[in-house]
Amino acid sequence: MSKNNRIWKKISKLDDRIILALLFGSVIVTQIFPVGLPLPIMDTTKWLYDGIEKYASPGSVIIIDNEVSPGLLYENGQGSAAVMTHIFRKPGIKIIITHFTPESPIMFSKLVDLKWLNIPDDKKYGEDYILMPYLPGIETAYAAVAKDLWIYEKDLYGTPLKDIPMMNEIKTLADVDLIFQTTISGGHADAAIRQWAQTYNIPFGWCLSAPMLPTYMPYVPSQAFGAIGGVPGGAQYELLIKKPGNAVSYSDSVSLIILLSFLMMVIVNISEFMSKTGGGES
Amino acid sequence: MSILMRKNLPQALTAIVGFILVVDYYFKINEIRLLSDTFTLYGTIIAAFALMLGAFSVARIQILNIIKKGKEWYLSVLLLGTMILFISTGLSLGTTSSIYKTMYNTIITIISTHSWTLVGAATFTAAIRVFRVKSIESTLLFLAAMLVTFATVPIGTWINPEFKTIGDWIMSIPTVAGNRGFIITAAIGGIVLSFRTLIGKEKRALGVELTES
Amino acid sequence: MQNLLIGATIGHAIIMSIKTLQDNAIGKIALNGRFDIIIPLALGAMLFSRFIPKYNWLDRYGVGIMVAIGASLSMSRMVDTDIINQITASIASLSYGDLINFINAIIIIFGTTSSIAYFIFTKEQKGSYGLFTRIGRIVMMVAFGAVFGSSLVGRASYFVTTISFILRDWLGIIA
Repeated sequence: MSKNNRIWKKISKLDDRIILALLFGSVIVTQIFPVGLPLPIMDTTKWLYDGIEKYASPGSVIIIDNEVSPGLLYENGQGSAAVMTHIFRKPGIKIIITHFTPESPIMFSKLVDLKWLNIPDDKKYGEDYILMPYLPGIETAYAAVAKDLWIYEKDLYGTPLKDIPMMNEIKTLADVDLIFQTTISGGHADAAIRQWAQTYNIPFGWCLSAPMLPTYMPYVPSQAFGAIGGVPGGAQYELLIKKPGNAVSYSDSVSLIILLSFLMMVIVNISEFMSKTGGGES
Repeated sequence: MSILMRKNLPQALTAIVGFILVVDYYFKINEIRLLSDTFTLYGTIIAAFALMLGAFSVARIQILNIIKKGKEWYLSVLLLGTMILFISTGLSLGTTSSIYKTMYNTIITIISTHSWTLVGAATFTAAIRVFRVKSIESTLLFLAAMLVTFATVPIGTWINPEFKTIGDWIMSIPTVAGNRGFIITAAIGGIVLSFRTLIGKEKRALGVELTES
Repeated sequence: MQNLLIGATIGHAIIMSIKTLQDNAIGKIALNGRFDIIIPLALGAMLFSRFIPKYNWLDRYGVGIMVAIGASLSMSRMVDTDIINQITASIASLSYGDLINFINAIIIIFGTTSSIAYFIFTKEQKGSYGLFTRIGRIVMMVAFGAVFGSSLVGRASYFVTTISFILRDWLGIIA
């Protein structure tokens, strides 16, 4: 085997430690010395923003289906907090926040504690927004809530729904004007679009994880007017609502990691090709 | 009687409940609507038990491991101890209390978040070492991945602003075409499977085939 | 660490189930007089019979109801959401007026039908039909490429958040 061939072969079998060292090093450098590259706004993000502007009008009832997961808090937590902040800023609206995973009620309060989600002072709990407890069953739970929002009996804090003023006018999903769902689970996304958006013909928007967004693109914009995915989507939405946060600060690092990864993939593929055409193993 | 109670009756119940819910979607009959709403409510209650069942199954395995002093039984003690701590705190103080939330965020949120970092590291190293462009399909996969990611991240549009237009086009047109075909095909398969389950052809759903008794 | 996480997660799951049953089941019986709720409570309790070998068939009732509800709810809506609406959305895009949008719509329709054709295994994929299904495969590869690229972006953000957590919250190097 020639010396060149050995070099190509070595590069094609790049060590994990070198890969990780390069990736971690690039993150550390870009976090300590941020570059501030301009962030492109994807069409789907703009559609979501425009949809919220259009449908969250005064007097409307909005359901926010919050399913931020603890493991992926930093993936779609920022994006969902940005969209929720946008919704909460709207005057004269009523917001019902539902939870269909066991961890999501605590994650909602985590978003508030981290100051990613800003609930304006003029929004009063019980009058302008309400938090519903966890309901198990995924598709069954979505269908049950659609038929009767009073299935819950009590809110997250144990107050009977009949003692909460804003719920007096809201009985079923037919009284709802807009739905925004944030989820990392395909099952929940499918259940919401089938049981809520499709059945009741309600405008629907999504915050998904980054890998899910291309898979759910067929539903956009025919059944869901817009969607954001992962940290890039969150960063774009933060810029649109003029509240740049963590997601924007991560963009430079994510950029560099992606660039390095694709460069390494190209180099590894070229070296594999060169090692094979250069004689190969004896 | 035995076969009736163990096999036929559960299958019949499955079929009746299922078909009532299907009929309710397509026909507006008040009595069927009432039954459908009732069954949906029942489903959420049974689902709560199912969630507990999963948790108890895990706990049972750990208890047996401790009793038999099996492999790494001390870790089972840790698992059960944590479980009991969460249950007792949740029952006494409630899940909305600050103590419970602190416990949850300190243990579950932090460990989960940073576990995903390991997943991320593994994905990157695997993708870089293993991904080989050897055919038209893999070349297109690679190019599509590159163009879509460069459209999303700032560095892509900094290199060339046209990446955004191309990335948007790929997300809106070929991605939609490919995934739409997938969704339609999967939906047809799902409908057939659901129908077979309701009419009792898919016995595995009820565990009848495996534990034939 | 793993056992700590699992113990905490299952403890939390048990608490949430108990709370749901307290509010939704027992609450409805006590406050609304809905004594029929005893039926799902009994069916749910029967799920635990799987731990008793002699009576493990009792859980089929609860499982059967759950499976029936899930299957029928998804089956009935899937026809509209995942088949009819998807086909309608493909065809509706033909009417957007602009030439470029028209060409894009043709690409979507052609790509969708060819990827569906790829999954029809009752007809041999050769000749012009084989070429058609090959195009479907290529379209799906582009779609999977988009998914792969997006998942790389997602995984990248996990790195960044952990490093950022260490640098910002732990070491205090960045603001």
